[in-house]
Amino acid sequence: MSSEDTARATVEAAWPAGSLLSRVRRRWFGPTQPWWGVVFTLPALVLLVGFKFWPMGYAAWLSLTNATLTEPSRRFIAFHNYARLAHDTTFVGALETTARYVGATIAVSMVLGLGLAVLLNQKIPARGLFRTLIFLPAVVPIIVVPILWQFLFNPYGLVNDALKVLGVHPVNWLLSPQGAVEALVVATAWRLTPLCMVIYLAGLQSIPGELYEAAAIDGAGAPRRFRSITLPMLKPTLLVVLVFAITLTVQNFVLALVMTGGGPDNASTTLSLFVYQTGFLGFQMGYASAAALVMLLIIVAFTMVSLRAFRTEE
Amino acid sequence: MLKSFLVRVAVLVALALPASLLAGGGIAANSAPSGFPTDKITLTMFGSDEAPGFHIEEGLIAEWQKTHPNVTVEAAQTPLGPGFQKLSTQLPTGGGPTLFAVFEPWIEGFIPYMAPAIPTAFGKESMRQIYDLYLPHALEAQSRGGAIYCLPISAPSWSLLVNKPLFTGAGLRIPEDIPRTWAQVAALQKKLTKYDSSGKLVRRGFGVRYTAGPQWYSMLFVASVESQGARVLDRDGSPLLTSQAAVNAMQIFKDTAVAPTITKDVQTSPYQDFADGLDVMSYGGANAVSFAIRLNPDLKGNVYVSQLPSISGQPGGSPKYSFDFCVNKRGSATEQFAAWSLIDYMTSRGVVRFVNTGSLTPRKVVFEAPDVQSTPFIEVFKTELTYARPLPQTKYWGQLQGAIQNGVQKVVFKDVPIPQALQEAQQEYLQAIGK
Repeated sequence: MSSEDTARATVEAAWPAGSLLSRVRRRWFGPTQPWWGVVFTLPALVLLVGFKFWPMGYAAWLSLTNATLTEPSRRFIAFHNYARLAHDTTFVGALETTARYVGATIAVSMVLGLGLAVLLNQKIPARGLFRTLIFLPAVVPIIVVPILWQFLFNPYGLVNDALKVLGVHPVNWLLSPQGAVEALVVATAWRLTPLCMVIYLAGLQSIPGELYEAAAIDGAGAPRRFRSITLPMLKPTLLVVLVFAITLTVQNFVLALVMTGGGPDNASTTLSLFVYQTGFLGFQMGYASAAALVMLLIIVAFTMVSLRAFRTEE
Repeated sequence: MLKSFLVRVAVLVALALPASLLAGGGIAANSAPSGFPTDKITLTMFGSDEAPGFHIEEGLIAEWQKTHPNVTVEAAQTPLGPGFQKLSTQLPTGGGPTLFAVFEPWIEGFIPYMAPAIPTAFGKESMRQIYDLYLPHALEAQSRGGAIYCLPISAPSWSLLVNKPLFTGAGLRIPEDIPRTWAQVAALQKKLTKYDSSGKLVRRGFGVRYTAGPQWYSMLFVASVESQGARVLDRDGSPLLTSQAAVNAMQIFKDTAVAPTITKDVQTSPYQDFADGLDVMSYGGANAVSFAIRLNPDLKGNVYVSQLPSISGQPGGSPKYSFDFCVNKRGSATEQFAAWSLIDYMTSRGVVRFVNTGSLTPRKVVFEAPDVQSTPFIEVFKTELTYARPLPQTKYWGQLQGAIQNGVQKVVFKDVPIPQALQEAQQEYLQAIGK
């Protein structure tokens, strides 16, 4: 009897043969999973359902109702909230702002994070110290970030002082439609870049050094080695960073809430801030849930596109 | 025979039921105890978020418990923002603490979950007698259908704060040159605004707090509209944001705006520009003076307080809002009674809060206390509180404030013509409430 046969025999002894439970088990958990394995997963499963899937399902249900926090009763209104979203200029504006904000933030963070990771993957003096210092913004409490940048982006703040030194005209950052989104991008990228860098570093360290040595012997220069070895080998890491950055940036609303309040004139109202304002300032939980679900669908869509784009042979 | 018996029973029941209700003082009063409950009671409470305010409440609760030893109070220091979110989810689902602090605009939204005041818990016989404990009009926002649902622990209205050395240093006299109208404020801007040799703004006559939260200008807009006898919402809740009164109110922001982006005011420190001496004149409640002095001790004795300017120059151009204590209607009758008794005690000792934080409780007894009477400009604050306009009671205050906020920002930061900005604000409000 082979070891595979032994395993099958053990498992089949543990599950009542031919029962419905056995068939479900085989389909969901594979042929070699004994029944008590399911028992061990139950606590985690209960937590996952109770705190993640049930609230998500409840939000989906709320999105089909006219639920507000001020009225105990609610009515089923089918897809009215979604139709209303399509005509809501504030929501459409928030979608556009989110696209600009997320796109720019991710581009800056991913490129800068990769550059820093490649740099700090070299054998340079005080490498550990630099890694720690550059990672510091990622551990600053989230509420400190917008307050800090609010002062830096003051018309007479350090950012404009630095621009003046460079001969660039000062920018009205937080109270102009264009400047507000740019300020949010800079502040978010400041926090996100180190996180991307750490993930990249882990990916870089898993690339075998022999590949670089062989390429160097074959006469490949640093740019060629980066293009032909680093980038292809980092593809799975790039995917992780991208999905991570999209999720974190789309969901983030603390920065917009504190730095600009979504203004001026809704210029920096992102999707997540719209959801917060509609639900918790406007009390319209049904409508806010619909907007939140649209946000979820956008994140899922981008994630799936990323998965397809970065799919590897493995 | 049987029919006759049933008729007799029905008559007896018909007579006994009203008699028992009358004896207990009616259905509503019947559920409330006539005297202070003697059984063991535990009150849960969301208290103030600021450290001095919460510690004052803890002290007052301890004082009250000495005479009510059967009551345990579990008070939690609850910042308003997170507190709002907790209440928003707990109250509609039948939870929440027995008593909780709210910001006045939340009252309309939470009213279905609040219990009305119980006069006997105040040692009073009627709701009218509770009203009489307060300054005129002080409980308008807290009342529905003649019943009081919340009581203010702090009720700011705004006055004009003037930095005396900077004001007189510009050759202006106090009180003769203190502005009474917004047109006078706009005229003084030219005299008081200064730039240094590099073109940097170093002084401004008056600054609206555009970066410290929308309430600082949305409420001013609403009060300015209402001070003209107009309203921002009609009785049905439809917006009236395109009226001439609204145009006049919006003109205030356009006329007084001097370098509005130059500011260090933030939500957590809204009086920063005044404390730094950037703004010669500012606005705020009685607590604003002590707040500014904490930021810059040199201001002590150097702040003059006057009526907040209005469009006409008459009192009433200031908004009035409050932070209130309310009682959860899910609490038992004895819990509600004890909770109102505690609120009565805490609000009657408003002088303790005033001395420590500068926040005024609009209860008459507070203004009779020597500590309050000896406070400079207390009559200004009292007059302001009496004439100030309460915020409109609407479930859609968040949306209304947001629409006004964007309207003002359009005028001040994007130079959009006032009628267009108001028209867009009106549309935005209607869209936000789904109409």
